[in-house]
Amino acid sequence: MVAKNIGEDKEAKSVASVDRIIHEPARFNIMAYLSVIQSADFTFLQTQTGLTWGNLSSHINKLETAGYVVVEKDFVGKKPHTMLQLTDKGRTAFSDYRKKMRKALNTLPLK
Amino acid sequence: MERDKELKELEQEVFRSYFKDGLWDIYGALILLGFGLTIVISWDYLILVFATLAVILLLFRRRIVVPRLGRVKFSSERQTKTKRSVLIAMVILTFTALLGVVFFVLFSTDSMPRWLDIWMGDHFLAAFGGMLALLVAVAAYIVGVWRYYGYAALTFIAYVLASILRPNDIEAIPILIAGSIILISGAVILTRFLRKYPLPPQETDGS
Repeated sequence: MVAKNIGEDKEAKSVASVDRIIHEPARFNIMAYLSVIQSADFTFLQTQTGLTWGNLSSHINKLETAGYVVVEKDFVGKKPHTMLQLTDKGRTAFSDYRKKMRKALNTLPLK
Repeated sequence: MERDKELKELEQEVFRSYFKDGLWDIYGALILLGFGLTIVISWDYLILVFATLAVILLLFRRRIVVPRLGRVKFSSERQTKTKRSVLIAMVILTFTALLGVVFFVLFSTDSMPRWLDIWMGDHFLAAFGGMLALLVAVAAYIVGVWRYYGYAALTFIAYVLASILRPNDIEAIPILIAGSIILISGAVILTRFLRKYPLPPQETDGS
């Protein structure tokens, strides 16, 4: 009984230690898409994630502040254009997050 | 491994999303319709029409698809895979073209073996359709879009039927029907795409 409680404690700690910035579903989605490509613009992420322009912008700001995403602004013709890319820190954080979540979920009983 | 598989599937899904506009379907359909019409009107400048269509298609994609789906740079792994697949397609295309040249030289110099002459006379359309279908299947493999395999099968069936119907001088009909089916499919996909992805608001420079 004691051993079981210790195990559950470890699981709880494992879940509690996941990266809260990535844990938010919309940001997780953004990180997942950016992790499988080199870079993309706002429109691409909007069509893939289904987020509104303002919502996406707000989440990108948080990811940028955390140093997970780098935002590059340039011009295509005369129009402003923003490309987004995961930083090395972002890739590592996303990978760690996935490992922790998988580990935590795998140790939970099904019923 | 499972983690890699999930990410790989997501990456494939993203890559495939760039082919859900139906424009390549329409282009392929117009080529097939062109081949069908050539049989009817035997026009020699068809290749120029295809080239013009290709340019129009690329311009159309740039103006219609990119503003709606956005810009993406795929990983270097994906870029390498695409280049490799395109290279395979180019090898098949070159082989097909060389085969055509060989047949043309043999035919024009009257040095075609008799059995081949007879076989080509009977099955030329089916052989050509087979090559065309192979190219479409390679394209389907490169982009991972399942409906393109269907188009490859449809193209092959149309040309086999054309080969069978050739003695009755109605060989163009199955090719034109197949082209029309693909054209309708492409038009439906394009309409759905335009409805699903309206033009997003323009970015501002913040000033």
